[in-house]
Amino acid sequence: MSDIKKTGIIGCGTVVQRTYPQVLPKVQGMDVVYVYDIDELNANKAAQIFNASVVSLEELFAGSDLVFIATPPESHFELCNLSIQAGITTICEKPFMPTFKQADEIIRTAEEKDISVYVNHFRRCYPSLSLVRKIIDTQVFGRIRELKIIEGARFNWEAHSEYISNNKYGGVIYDTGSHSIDMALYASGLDIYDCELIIDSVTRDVPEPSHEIQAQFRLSSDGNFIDCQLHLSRYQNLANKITLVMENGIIELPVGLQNKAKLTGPGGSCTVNANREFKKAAHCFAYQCHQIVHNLQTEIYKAKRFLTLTKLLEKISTYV
Amino acid sequence: MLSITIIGAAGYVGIELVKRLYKKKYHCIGVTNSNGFFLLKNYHIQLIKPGEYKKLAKSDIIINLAYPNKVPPLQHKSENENIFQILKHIVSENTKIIQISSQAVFGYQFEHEIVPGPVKNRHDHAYITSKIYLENRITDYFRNNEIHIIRLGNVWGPGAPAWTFGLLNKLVFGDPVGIIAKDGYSNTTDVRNIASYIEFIIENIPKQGSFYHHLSEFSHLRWSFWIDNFCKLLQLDPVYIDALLDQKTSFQKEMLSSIKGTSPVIIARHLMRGQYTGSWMRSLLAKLPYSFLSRLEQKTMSADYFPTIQNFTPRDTFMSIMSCEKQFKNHLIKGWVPEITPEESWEKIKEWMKSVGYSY
Repeated sequence: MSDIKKTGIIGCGTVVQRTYPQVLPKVQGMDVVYVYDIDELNANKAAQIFNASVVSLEELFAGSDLVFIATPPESHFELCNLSIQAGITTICEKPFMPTFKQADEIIRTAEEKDISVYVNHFRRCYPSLSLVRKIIDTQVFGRIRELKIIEGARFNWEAHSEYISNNKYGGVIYDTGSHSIDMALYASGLDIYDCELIIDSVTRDVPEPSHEIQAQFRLSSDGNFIDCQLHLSRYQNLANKITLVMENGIIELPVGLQNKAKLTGPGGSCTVNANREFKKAAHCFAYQCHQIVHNLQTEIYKAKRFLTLTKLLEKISTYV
Repeated sequence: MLSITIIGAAGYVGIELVKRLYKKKYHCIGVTNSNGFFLLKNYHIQLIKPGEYKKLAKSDIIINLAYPNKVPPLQHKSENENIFQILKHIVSENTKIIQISSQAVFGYQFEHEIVPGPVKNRHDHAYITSKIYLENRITDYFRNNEIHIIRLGNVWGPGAPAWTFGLLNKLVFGDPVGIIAKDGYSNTTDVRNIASYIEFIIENIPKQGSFYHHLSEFSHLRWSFWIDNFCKLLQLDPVYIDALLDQKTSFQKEMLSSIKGTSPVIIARHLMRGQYTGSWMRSLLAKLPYSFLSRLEQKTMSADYFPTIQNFTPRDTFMSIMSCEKQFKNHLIKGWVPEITPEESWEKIKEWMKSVGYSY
C-alpha cells in the first residue's frame, strides 16, 4: 500500500489559491490529485496550481485517501457527512460548523463510522500555546479566574468575493475570532470539555457580519464560571494577546507566532521561551498536515475538541 | 472643486489623510485593493481598484502612498511599474504630484549622506531600492509637473503598525528593544502631522519643479523617550542586549561572508560534529603532534565570543534603527507648524492603548 495519501480539495476559493500552495506540496506523504469547486474557474485555477484533476464530488470521494473541505461554513455539514459516509479522513477548514448541533452530529457520525475528522486550527502548533498549556498543567498558577482574548489588525486579505460583507459567517468573529478564541480555549484546557456558556453582553460595529466586536461571557467546565472578555477588530491593531488571570498570577501569550509567554506574579514578571520555533505560520499549517497524514499526536486537531468553540461562535454571533 | 487621488488610501497614513480631506472642499478618490473598500466604507469617497485605474480621470493632485509590500522582492520592480502606470494615466500637465517616500533612502543607519535632493539609484535592501527607484522614476518622467517628494521618518501614532504597535509588542513580551548604551534617535513623525503637512503642501501656491521634503518632527527624541513612557505606564522593564552591530557592510564583505561556510576550517568544524565524520576526524588528528594541534586550535578559534541572541543578527534592521546615532532633521516648507507635540502624541497613544486592551 502506498505511503502517499491521495488528497482531494473541495472548495478552491481564495484561501486555497493563496495559502494552500505554500503548504500542501511540501507535506511529505501528501499528494493533491483532485480538486472540486462549484465555480469551474476556481476549480481550474486550483488544478493548475496543484497539477491536479478537476473531478466531480463523487470521483473525488471515490479516489481520495484524505479530503480537505475548504468551502464556506454553511456547506461544511453536508460535505463532512458525505466524506464520512465515503470513509475518508477529513480535514475541515475553520470554522468547523455554523452550529453546535451540526458539530455534535458530525462528531457522533464520525465516531460511529470510526472515521477521523479534523479541523484546521493550525495555531495549535504555536510553541507558545503548548508552553502555556504545560505551565497551567503544573498547577503552580492554580485555577483560571478570567480569560481575555484580544486580537485585531487592519484587514489586508484580498478577498475575491463579497464574503466578508455579505455572508453571515464572514464577520471577524468567525474569521479572526475562531483562531484567537480557540487559542484561549486550548491554552486553558477548556477545549476538552463541552463547557456551559452564559453570554452577558455583545457590542458590534454593524449587525453580522461585523468587523469589530466586544463580548463578555462566562464559561464553565465544572460549575465554576470563568469570566471572559473578547475584543476583535478588522480596523486596527489591538493589544493582540491572550491573558489568563489565574489564582496565583497572570499568564499572557501573544496571538501571533512568537514562541514565548509572559508570567506575572506578586514579585514581578518574566518572559519564558518555548524551546522550538516556527519561522512562518504556513509552516505550522504544514506541520499540522504532516502530523495528520502520519497519524502523529493528532488528538488536539480532532473535531470533538472544537465543540465549545463552535458553541461560543454561534452564540456570540447570534446574540442580540 | 479640486480633485485629489490618493493611491494607497487604505494604509495607515492613507486613512488619516482620507479622514482629513474628504470633509473639506476636495473631491477625493482612493485607489486601493479590495480590502480598502471595507476599511474606507464609512468615508463615502470614490474608490477604485488598482487594476481598474483606466476608469480614473486626470487628477489635480495625486498623493502616492503605495509601494510594493505584499509581493516578494523579485517583483518589486514590476509592482512599482504598476503604480507608475496609474500615475501616468491620471497625471495631466497641471497635476501636483506628492510622492511619499522614506528616510530609508539614505540607509537604515543613514550610511549615505542625508541630502534634501535626488538620491541615485543603487543596490541596497529591497525596500530601499524600491523607494529610491520610484522617486527617480517620477521626477524623471514628469519633469514639467510640480513634484513633492516627502521622505518620512519612522511613522508613529496610535496603532502605527511598524513602530508604535511593533515596539509595544516587543516591550510587553520581553523582546529586546535596543542595544545597551546605544539609545538612538527615534526620528519619528506622527501620522497626524504627516497628514497636516501633506494638506499644507496641497494648499501651497503651485510652482514648477521637484521639491524634496524631510519630515521627522520628533527626530530629536531618543527612543528612550517613548520606551520610558510605555514602561512607566505598563510597569514593564525594557530588555536591552549587549551586542555588536555590523556598522558597515559592502559587496565584498557579504560575498566573503557567504562563502565563509566553505572554508576548510568551517568544513572541518562541521565534520568534527558528525557521529561518523567526527570519529574519522579525531582518528586523523590524533596522529598529529599535540603542540601543533594546540596552535591550530588557537588560530582557528572563533572570535565571536559574544553570546548569540535569539532572533538577532549583527545586521538586524530593527536594532540598527533603534541605535541610530544620526538625526533625520526636518527639511520643510516654511510656515508649517506641527499639529501635535510629542506630549500630545503620547496622550493619543495612551488613549489608543486603553481602547485596544493594554491594561494600566
